[in-house]
Amino acid sequence: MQVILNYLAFFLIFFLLQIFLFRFLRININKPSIILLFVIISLIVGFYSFSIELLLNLIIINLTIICFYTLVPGIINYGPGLEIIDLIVNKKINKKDTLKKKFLKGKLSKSVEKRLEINISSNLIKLDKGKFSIKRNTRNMLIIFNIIKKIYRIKSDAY
Amino acid sequence: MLTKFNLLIVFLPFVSVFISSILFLIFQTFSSKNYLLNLIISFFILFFLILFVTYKTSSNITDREIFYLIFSYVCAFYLFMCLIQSQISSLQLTILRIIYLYPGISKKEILKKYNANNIFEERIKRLESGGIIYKKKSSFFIKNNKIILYLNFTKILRKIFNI
Repeated sequence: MQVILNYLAFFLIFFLLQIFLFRFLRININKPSIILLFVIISLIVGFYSFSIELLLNLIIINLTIICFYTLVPGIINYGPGLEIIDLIVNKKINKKDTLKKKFLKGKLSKSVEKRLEINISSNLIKLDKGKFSIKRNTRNMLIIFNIIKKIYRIKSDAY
Repeated sequence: MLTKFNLLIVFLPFVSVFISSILFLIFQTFSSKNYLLNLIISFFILFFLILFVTYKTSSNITDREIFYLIFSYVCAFYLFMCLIQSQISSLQLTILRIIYLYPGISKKEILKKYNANNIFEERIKRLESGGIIYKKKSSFFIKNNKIILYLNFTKILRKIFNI
């Protein structure tokens, strides 16, 4: 029980810190550089401590931080699937044509443009004289993703 | 000094996720239509196996180790699930794939190939095939009420984060 309470205390502090920084200062701490920093510090501490308890705690903390890194973008950038469900459940729009009209008029009508901006700001693509091209690291990442897609026989929505 | 047993405890959740990913691969080869169900089944098989191992060795392991085994497995599998899910529905990844396939493409051309209209049709199709919504006389209704829980969870978090 004590173990769970200790973890809950860490989780609450980390979660409240995220809320405070994002809500009041618009700072998103879920960045690869911050995660890398945490991982490097944990590796050094874990390597020199020789304590199994500390090592397990460090792994749990790092996993929580990485999970937050994948969870928060999904909250900030509301997905189209959830928008459709929201329209059906809360706005009581069921007819396909009306649903489509509302969807195309809503915030998500600009989702492609928004994701393009995110890709540029994340240094994944570059824009040169109105033409987009991907960066070298992004190409390697996409090759790995394509391999995963082929291995697991995943059918993506598009492309 | 870490013993062999300690190392086993440290790596067990990650090895378990690797095994469940192989299980997921096997399920996908038989039926790739409902990937979500395949993911859930492969998660629970190893989850119950970990619970069984924990129960059998409960006299040798501490509470902290039990918590670590369960929590790390759930977290690591969540990350694997995100990796799979992003291949299917990530808008950001789809746009990257378009630019990768058509280098030097302009914004106008991207929007011609992939726009809100396409996204709507794709999502409706996937929500329907995933058993989340169903169609009745050109109207859509919620089939799986669990999605409402997730929707409310996201909405609450958006309110807390003031988005």
